[in-house]
Amino acid sequence: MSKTFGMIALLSLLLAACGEYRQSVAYDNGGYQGKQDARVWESERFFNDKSAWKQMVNERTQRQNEYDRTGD
Amino acid sequence: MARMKFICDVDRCIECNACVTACKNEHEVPWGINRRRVITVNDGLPGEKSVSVACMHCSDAPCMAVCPVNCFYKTEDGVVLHDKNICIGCGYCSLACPFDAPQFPNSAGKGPGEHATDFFVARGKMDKCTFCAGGPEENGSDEEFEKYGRNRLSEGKLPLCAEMCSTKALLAGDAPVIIAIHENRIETRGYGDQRWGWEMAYGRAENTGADKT
Repeated sequence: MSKTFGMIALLSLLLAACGEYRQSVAYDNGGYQGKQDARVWESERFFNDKSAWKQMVNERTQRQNEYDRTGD
Repeated sequence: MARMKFICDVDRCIECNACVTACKNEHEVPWGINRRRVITVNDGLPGEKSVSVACMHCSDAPCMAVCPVNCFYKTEDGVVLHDKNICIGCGYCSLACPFDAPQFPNSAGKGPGEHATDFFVARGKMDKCTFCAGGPEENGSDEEFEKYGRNRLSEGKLPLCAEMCSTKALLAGDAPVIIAIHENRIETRGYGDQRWGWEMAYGRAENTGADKT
């Protein structure tokens, strides 16, 4: 009896780390998956304006395309 | 929703290591840690290729899956970040990561023959590329800078490694935009359609495993 109980306890312990955390992205209560963090556009520079942040980042992303810069 | 990604164009990378230097300088990364590094294969031989490697901010991140204390999180921009207040420095993420992105501050002080990922070697809290997006502390705060480096993304900027790359081998930004830039290059030059690490980092579907949080 105690041997069976011991085996069950051991298996439970060994399998305890076999699951995976959900990686879905949801912003709840000022954080992601329980970790507190502000969103990037919630900064002094953008005052919570997501579209302004997105526009600036997209402009900078496009600047990496040197064909645009040279007009080719 | 933006999905921030890196592309390293191996046909353009000239192994100058400027991305590595820029990253270390921008974030004042301590001695012994390289958040980004350049790997060269067939060094000195015809067909030599170099690739700049850091955290790829995977869609289905193995580091997140194996972390025993659940210190990782993914932002709305697809950036994989972690909370150093929760990290215990166990090194599981380092073993799980296909890109060897997680770094440990005490690895420089390890004994002869020991590796940072050895089980009994003392490690500090894990450090890795944040896509220049800081961490859980207030955006742009001194505390955030001390732990995670500069938060350029909250300033509307992209990671410095990509923005200052002289050959523009390293691209960073919203996935559809940088893919379009890369594909335009391929069409123009007529070869080199490989996006290194792309399939491994983003090829799998989002993780739908059990929620332990």
